[in-house]
Amino acid sequence: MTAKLELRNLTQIFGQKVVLDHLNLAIEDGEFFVILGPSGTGKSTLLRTIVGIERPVSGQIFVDGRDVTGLPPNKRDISMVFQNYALYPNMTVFQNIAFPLKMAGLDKNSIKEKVTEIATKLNIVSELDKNVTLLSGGQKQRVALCRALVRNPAMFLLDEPLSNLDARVRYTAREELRKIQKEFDQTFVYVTHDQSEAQNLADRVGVLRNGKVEQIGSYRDLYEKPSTKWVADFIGEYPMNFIDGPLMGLDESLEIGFRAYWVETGSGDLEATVMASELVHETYFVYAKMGDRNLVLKSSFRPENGSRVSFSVKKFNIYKDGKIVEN
Amino acid sequence: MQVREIGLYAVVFILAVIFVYPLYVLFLISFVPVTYTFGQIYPAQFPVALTLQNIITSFHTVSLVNPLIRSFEVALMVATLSLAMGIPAGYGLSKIKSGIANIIVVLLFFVNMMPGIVVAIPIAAEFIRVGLYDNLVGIALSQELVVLPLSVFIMLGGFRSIPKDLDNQARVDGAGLLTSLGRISIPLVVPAVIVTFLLSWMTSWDEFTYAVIISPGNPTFPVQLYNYVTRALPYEASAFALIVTIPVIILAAILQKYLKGEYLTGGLVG
Amino acid sequence: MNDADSFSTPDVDRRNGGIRKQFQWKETYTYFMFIVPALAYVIALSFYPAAEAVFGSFQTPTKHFVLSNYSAVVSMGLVTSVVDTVIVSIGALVIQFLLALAIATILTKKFVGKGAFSTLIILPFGVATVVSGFIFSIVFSAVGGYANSFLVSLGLHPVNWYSNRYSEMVIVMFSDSWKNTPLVALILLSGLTSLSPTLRESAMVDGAGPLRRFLYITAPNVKGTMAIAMMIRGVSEFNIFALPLILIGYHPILLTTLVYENYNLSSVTLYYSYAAAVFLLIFILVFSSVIIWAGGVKSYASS
Repeated sequence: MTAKLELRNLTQIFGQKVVLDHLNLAIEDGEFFVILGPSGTGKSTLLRTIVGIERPVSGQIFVDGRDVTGLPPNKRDISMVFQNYALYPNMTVFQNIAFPLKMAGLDKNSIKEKVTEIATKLNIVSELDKNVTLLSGGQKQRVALCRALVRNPAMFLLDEPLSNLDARVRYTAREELRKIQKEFDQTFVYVTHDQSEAQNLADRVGVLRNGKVEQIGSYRDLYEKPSTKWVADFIGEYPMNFIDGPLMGLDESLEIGFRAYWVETGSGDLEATVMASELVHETYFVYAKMGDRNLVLKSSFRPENGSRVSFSVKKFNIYKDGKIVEN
Repeated sequence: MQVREIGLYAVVFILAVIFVYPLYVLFLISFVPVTYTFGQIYPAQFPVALTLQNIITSFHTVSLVNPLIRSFEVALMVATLSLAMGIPAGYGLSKIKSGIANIIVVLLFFVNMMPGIVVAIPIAAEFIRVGLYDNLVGIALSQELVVLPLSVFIMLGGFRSIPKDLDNQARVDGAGLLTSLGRISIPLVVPAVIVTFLLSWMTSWDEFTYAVIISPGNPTFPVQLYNYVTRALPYEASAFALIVTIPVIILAAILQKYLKGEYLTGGLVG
Repeated sequence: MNDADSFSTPDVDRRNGGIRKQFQWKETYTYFMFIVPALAYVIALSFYPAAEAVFGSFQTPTKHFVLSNYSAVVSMGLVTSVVDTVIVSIGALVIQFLLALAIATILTKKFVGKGAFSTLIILPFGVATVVSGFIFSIVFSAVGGYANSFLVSLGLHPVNWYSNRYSEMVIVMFSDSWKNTPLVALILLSGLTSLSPTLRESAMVDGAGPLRRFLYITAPNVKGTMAIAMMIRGVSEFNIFALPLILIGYHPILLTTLVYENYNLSSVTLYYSYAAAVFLLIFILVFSSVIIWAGGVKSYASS
């Protein structure tokens, strides 16, 4: 089976800045794929290049095996939800959702039918006659989603669609988005810098760094087996701890990486100097120094600042030259 | 503080009087019996008596209506031309690289600086050849030079103020370039369209240089008014002046909220 | 992170045909087509005729190259008309800017009747130039008239406004300023309102009086706006035509009226008018270059 979306050697340069650098990526049909990366790593550019608003310097884009690199956005059969939703302010909710159908040349009755159907599913049918400028953030997001879904395109691109919502709405909207994706059985490519969104939404996550995909996998993979030290540092609420290999009887060229949660403090062969501690819910996190390495360790008690705390590592990965060594 | 406030109101009052006085004089010579105005060496400053006779007589002695209709038609053509060329140009300029766009804008600015009388005469010479001399379309075509640069600036400013993603979204939603322009972009720049239309209309209504050179035989109202003044027909001239001034003054007062420096300087200010 | 490391190998890009270049060209080309009608129009009806006027100024009706057109306009008083045009233009600009600055400053303050005041002030903008010329010809008469009526009622001597060319030019300057001050005031107002009030307030706290506040705070900050207003108005002042034509006819003659006096499509004087027109053109180019060179626009753009 061919991939739903395939990017080959996609390169994007603005002025002197290389934004996408020979990027390769294949996304499967029906997948909820999250592209995760710190801000300014070209995530939005990637989506805008896929949808056809930006033209790549080189490389190719395939949708369902069809090369769409040369096509304008309206001929690519891809929907996109922009970060600010880009609702047409001169139209009502109904007209906004109907717009893609009108463009596709559907007749009035089937437009009305389809718009009502999708609006009912997303629970905004009561707002259809309103002006979009009067809607709340959550409602705007749903209208944008309806407008994307209604024409049933090959796939959907979403550019941080939840970032403009306040925290409480964001969690429910997140759940809803996941449900919708499964219910419609559609391919979603979702860009975010928010790890919790990646964790809760994605079938697979691609981590973007300097215009390249650094690692692809489930969020769990990325968390437990980050393929590079950079991913290990970026993923997780605390960066992964690294210590020199010889401390655990390994070769000098190797490093040991472990999460704050993968240790037991109070006893063990390893020791570090406590700099500070903080209480998160019922657990202490200890900021400690071992030589010139900074560590974060989970602890069931609060050790004295400046004291030495001993700990043992229950689970770890081995890294060589910044990359993981499969064990 | 008190003294300064009184000073402010005094300045406001004096300025207001200076700016209203000429219009007040127009009112006097239009509605006060001739014996108190043109009949006196030192005419009365206050309306001693009022009459409509001046205006009624003027309508009988000279044709006021035809030049007005001509001016109206020309102004309509000029305003329409402004939109027909200004909207696409403003849209196109908002889409190409801003460096190139700015060069074109500067080029248009040069057109605005070109003295009307300098280009009007060669144009008249050409228009005789193509049958546009003494012709309303000819006047409109030449007057458009005065308003086109400003129209393009205003439309460019309008299109630049629309969020770029709206147009992108329309393209993603399946609209072609022209559909996106017609359905999304233009409806969002309606205020700029109105301002362009009205400013063009008003400019043409007022325009004298091109009108008198291109079409002396088929005059618009400013040219006709000039003719009455030089032929020493002051009553007719004042009636005429009043009739054309009232609607434009009302228009200016309405337009006031749009008459921001930004528009008048082509987006170079503010 | 090193850009040089991640920079793509050039040959790969070349092999893929520089896709974006191709597209960008196509897109820019498409959008450029939208601009073409306006550009073509402007070239056909502005640049081409201007070039024709320049060529025509060196021609006879039989298309021979001559300089006699220029000597003809010189003998008609070209030199004084240039001087008078400068006097009228500068004078009108000074009156307009002083009045406009006063009005714009007043409009930045709060006072009772501000709305009515700003509406009154804007009204002359809507009055046709020809109408304003006509009204002022009634106000300022050689004998009597409304201005003299006012002077007499104050017990002063009436004035013959047309007794010498300087008072005649003052009438033109004044009439022109009446119509055009509103525009300048609006432009200056937009510059003044963009100025943060805290700046003036802090200067006030620092003990600067009104004059110093204007010189050191307001003026430098509205310099760009001033330059643009100056450019827009200055160019129009040199082109001032309908007003002098109605108010003072051809005495004294200005550059524009000199062009118009010689305008006769079926006569040799057409070429004299071209010669005079060329002077006007040169004049305006020099004026706008000076304004641009003075750096107002540039400093505005970079601020």
